[in-house]
Amino acid sequence: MVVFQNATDDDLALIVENSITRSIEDGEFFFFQGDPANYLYVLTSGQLKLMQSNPNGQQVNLRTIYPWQMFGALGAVRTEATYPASAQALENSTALAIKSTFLHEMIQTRPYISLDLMSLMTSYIQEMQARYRELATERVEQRIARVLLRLTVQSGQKVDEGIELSFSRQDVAEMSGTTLYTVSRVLAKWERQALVETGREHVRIKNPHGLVKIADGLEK
Amino acid sequence: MDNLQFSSKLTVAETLKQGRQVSSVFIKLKTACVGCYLTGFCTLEDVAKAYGLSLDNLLDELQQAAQTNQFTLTRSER
Repeated sequence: MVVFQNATDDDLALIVENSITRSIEDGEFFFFQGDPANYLYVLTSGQLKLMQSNPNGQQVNLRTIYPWQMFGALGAVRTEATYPASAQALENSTALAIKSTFLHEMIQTRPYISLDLMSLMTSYIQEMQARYRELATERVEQRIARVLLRLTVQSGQKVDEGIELSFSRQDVAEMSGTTLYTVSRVLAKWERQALVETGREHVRIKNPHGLVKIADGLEK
Repeated sequence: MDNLQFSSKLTVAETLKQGRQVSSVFIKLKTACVGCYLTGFCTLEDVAKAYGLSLDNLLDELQQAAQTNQFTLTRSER
């Protein structure tokens, strides 16, 4: 339990005194996105997922919470905060619910809590940055693969070693809404993976099915 | 084994032209062929290789499907 690992026994006792235990069943929620963040939680048993919905109702799973992890802590930092995500149990779960205002006050006189919370939050940021980076690069690869396939249909020539396309990298960049640099980088990667072979004014697809898998996201 | 109607060198596009019921075989075998950009380039041999299917089985299924006159999928195949 990162956040309270430096707490004294007295502090821990005080925290427990100002907490309540909540148990919910598989599928039920501890709180919903947008609810006032009145409590922060430490899961003591079970498993949860934190998820966010956008206005269209599309859902994203942010993270899974395991026993002894803290969640819903935003209210301890900003007392007017609302929960940015919903917390749904993946199995019957129990958590310690600590009043946000109580911890907010405790923070004033216990620097270790602030530091631990900051450490938790920076690890979240790093994880989100990595995931964002992956998503951004995956999208571009998918777009480039789709452009190559569309070009293939229009003007591909089947040759012994695959399918030949007479288009330059600049053409591909303009058609996939990305830069020449990115297309070059992605094609170089695919060349290393024996998916394609590139020359100045042509691309040869050596592994057509491999490219379809990328274009259609078949193996995710 | 190549049969009268379907040879391993036939492209998927040519295969699909043999009739609506033929597409049900690709769906049943869980390939992404129906609607794929590359149907004009991929042969049935390529499909078997790409998806790790038995080529003989694929050709047999296609022949069977072509002989019935209906497009059908059982519940579990959908």
